[in-house]
Amino acid sequence: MTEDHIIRLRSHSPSGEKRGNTSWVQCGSCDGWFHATEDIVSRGTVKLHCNHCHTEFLPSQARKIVLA
Amino acid sequence: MARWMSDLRTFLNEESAHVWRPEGPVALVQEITALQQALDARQHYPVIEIRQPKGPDGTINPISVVCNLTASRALTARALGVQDHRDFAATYAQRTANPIPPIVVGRDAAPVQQIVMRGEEANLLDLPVLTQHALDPGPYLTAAHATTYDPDTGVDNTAIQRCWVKAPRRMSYYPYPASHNTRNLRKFWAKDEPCPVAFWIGHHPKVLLGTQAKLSYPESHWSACGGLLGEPLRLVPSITHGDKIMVPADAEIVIEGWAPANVWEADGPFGEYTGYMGAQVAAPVCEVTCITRRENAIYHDYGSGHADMLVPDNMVMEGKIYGMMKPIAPSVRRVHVPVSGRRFHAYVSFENPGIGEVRDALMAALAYRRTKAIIAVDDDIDLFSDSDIMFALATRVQWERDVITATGLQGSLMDPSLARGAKTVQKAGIDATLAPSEIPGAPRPVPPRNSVGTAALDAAIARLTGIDTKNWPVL
Repeated sequence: MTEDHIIRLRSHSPSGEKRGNTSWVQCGSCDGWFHATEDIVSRGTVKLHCNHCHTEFLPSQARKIVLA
Repeated sequence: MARWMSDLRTFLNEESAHVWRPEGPVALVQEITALQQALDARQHYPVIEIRQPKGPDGTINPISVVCNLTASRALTARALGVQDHRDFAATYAQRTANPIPPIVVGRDAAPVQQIVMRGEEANLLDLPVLTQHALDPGPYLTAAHATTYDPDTGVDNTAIQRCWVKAPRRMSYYPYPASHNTRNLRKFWAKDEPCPVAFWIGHHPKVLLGTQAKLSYPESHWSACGGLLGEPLRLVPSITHGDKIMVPADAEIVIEGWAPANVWEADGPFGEYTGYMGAQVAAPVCEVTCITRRENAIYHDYGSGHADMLVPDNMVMEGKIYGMMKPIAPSVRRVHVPVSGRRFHAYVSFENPGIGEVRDALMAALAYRRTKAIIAVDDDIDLFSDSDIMFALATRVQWERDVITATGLQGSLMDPSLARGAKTVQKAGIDATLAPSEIPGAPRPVPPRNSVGTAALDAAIARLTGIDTKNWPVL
């Protein structure tokens, strides 16, 4: 899986600053966003399911992925 | 003749005055859950039976849906014979400490096997499965108790697991990574074997609460159910797995199958108990081999994230926390895990605790994986009033002195406040009790609360009875 479409949010944050813990996937078919765990994305072989258009695709086929 | 015992129908009859049956069709997609959400907002908690559940294609399913079965603390407590729900924790702790082993009956005495559908006859899409929330990807079983066994010992485990119905004989299901069902699954998969599994749906709340007992591994829930029932739970061997997986003989529906080794599919997002959508995860799948049910089965659904699902689990947590604290702190009186906090915090009341006793009790209970914060109060605080708890926090806590925190503990990975990448949580125990008396016979060195006298208050309440207040402002 290439990294071109994956954005990894910074893991370190100064003490007292809030950083969200939720990763998001943008569907390659409908551009809708849904949230998924880093685990299912990093496996690379489990097809993701867009809950908006119900397309299934591998993480490599996502429009964009933001990993928290 | 089958021996009579408590089941879902018994409970519906017992509480018939509190069952609402809306007229006409109600859609399985969001409309039933919307009723629960609206009722929660009004703080009304009837049991709901939908006699005409309408599928996405407009057809009416002949199987009724029952939901909101355990949305009311009062009804849930009464199901166990506890008249005051505020005393549930002590009763639950005592009864689950006195388990009663189950008994096994034959198929002819098992209503749940009145109808047996194998192979292509078995069709999940025949069940009135709800799509609860707007962002759910499809219909989910929410009251299905996944039952597996430890291949090393044969000891069973049963726990509610969400199940996404994807096809007539295929569903993904999500056992949490730390769950006992996941441990069993991994043991089979480590040998490249499919994991046998059966999901049962629908029973008396006593049995539902028994299956939520927080046990060690491996430990069967069936005996805990018996302790709550006051009699042995009746079990029957499943059709597919025989006596390796027993199921409650008086349940409504059973779905049997196998989780093929190391096969993962997407599951979710799904509206979870946290009040947020749980993220899409990689989950095992169940390939269904058989569905059995009663002839006039009733389909039970828990409204995920609503009082319906939170109340029974929270009340069981109260029993667990009570059991953890009471040996350490005899002054513990009551425990309340409020719906408002999901499962993340608990309120505990103490009566005249000794020096250090509250903090000892907080330390003991913080080890309980589920809770993130425990707030200790005196017994003049109403544990069942969030407003009263806020009063105690506002007037009885100095944050540096009265808060115990600990990091690196086990907790819920679904907590939206979890630090990015963290696998453990930070917890807090808050001592919101007043300082104890230091001189025998003298009052505590704290101010008394301001209040009118009992006689004046009783007279005021009597004067307000029967008055039409619907036009009075509420804020």
